[in-house]
Amino acid sequence: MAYQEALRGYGRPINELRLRLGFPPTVLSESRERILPVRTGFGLVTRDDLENVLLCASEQSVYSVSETMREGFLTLPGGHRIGICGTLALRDGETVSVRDVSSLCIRVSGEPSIRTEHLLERLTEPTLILGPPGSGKTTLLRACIRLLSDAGRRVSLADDRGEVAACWHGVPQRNVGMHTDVLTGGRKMQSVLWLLRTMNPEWIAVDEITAPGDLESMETCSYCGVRLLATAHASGTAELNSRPLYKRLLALQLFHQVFVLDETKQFYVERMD
Amino acid sequence: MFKWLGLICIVAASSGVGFGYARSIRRQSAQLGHLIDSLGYMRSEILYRMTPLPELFETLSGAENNAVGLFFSLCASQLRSDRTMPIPGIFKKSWENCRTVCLSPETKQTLLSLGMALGRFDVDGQCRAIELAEQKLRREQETLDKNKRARCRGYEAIGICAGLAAAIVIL
Repeated sequence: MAYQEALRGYGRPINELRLRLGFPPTVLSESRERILPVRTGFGLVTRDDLENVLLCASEQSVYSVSETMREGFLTLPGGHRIGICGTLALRDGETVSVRDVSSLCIRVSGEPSIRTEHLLERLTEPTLILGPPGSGKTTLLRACIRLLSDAGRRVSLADDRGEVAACWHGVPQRNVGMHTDVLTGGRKMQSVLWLLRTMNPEWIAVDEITAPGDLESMETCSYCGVRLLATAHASGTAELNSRPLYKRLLALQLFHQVFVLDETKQFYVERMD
Repeated sequence: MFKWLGLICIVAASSGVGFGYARSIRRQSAQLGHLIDSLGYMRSEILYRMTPLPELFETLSGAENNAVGLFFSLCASQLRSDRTMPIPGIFKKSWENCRTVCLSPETKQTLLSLGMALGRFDVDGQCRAIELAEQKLRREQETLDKNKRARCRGYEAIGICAGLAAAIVIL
């Protein structure tokens, strides 16, 4: 509650609230991290503060969010997210939970603006969105999904990290259109095949191709006549060719066009024929 | 005439008290049964659906149309209104506000202990804590049921006899 009051009294737009054990809370605002003013009535962040934030965020039900906590984040109503840092508890090499939580990063949800004129007209073929980190790949993907969906296309979204739709209790907190089915919580490969089997989609969207398994599931989709929409970390098609995973992606010819984003969040279209 | 009427009233009142005690024992046994059922349901929900506690309490309040249901309904509304309140505190407050609950202090203690674990651990931890609470409550119910008939009859007989004895003394 003290944090809420302090944040309400803070005069600038806030992107993140950071709580680090033993240090004063800070806010990221206008690209700068600043200490939340002391006049708000609380000093250093304690372990109890961190645990209480997590308990509140999970509605006092840590078990119900254990899957995403294992991945290091929690989604809140409104699409806000809490990133968790601490000591990972491992079993058989797999993360089972996070203990001794030492920092939390509460990211305030906001829809960055992106130009979507004529975007729908271009979405007729399987499309890959490329761009460096922070260039707006996920935002553009979400915009594409929303446009397709609102135009009446059946879109299925495999949102394994919950960044695209930011579902909370199964309800997307971000606008992904009215004809979009969102599957969260699973691994990308399983989710894609699940959606293919169960939802009869026209389009399947995934955020960030990172593993060979992702390619296999997408290859299966392409044989079933489903169009793909995905993002990948690369600054352009040339960089795709320099990475083994993406080289295979190109060889499979799963995508017919690429939207390449630059750091100014503008994109241009490239054919992959 | 009035004297006889008064005597009848004394016997009836005394018997009423005895029957009231007997009824509260039957009610306690029934409520304990409902609570055990609710915990079983809670365990399944957590194990198979990982339902968060506010939603779970809402479901339990609808599933049990009795004092136990009311208790969980109060828990749900408490949790919704104050998301920072720990579960043992929520259980305690709801218990105090739920006047129709007639369970023993041991049952209350078992619930408060369960509240210490609820929500804080993973699914396995939750299930183990609920199982433990269920076992304790079952043992309590067995003890209660073993003596229930004898105790109920005893209270009823004492009520009637005390009324009659008072009537004889007055006569």
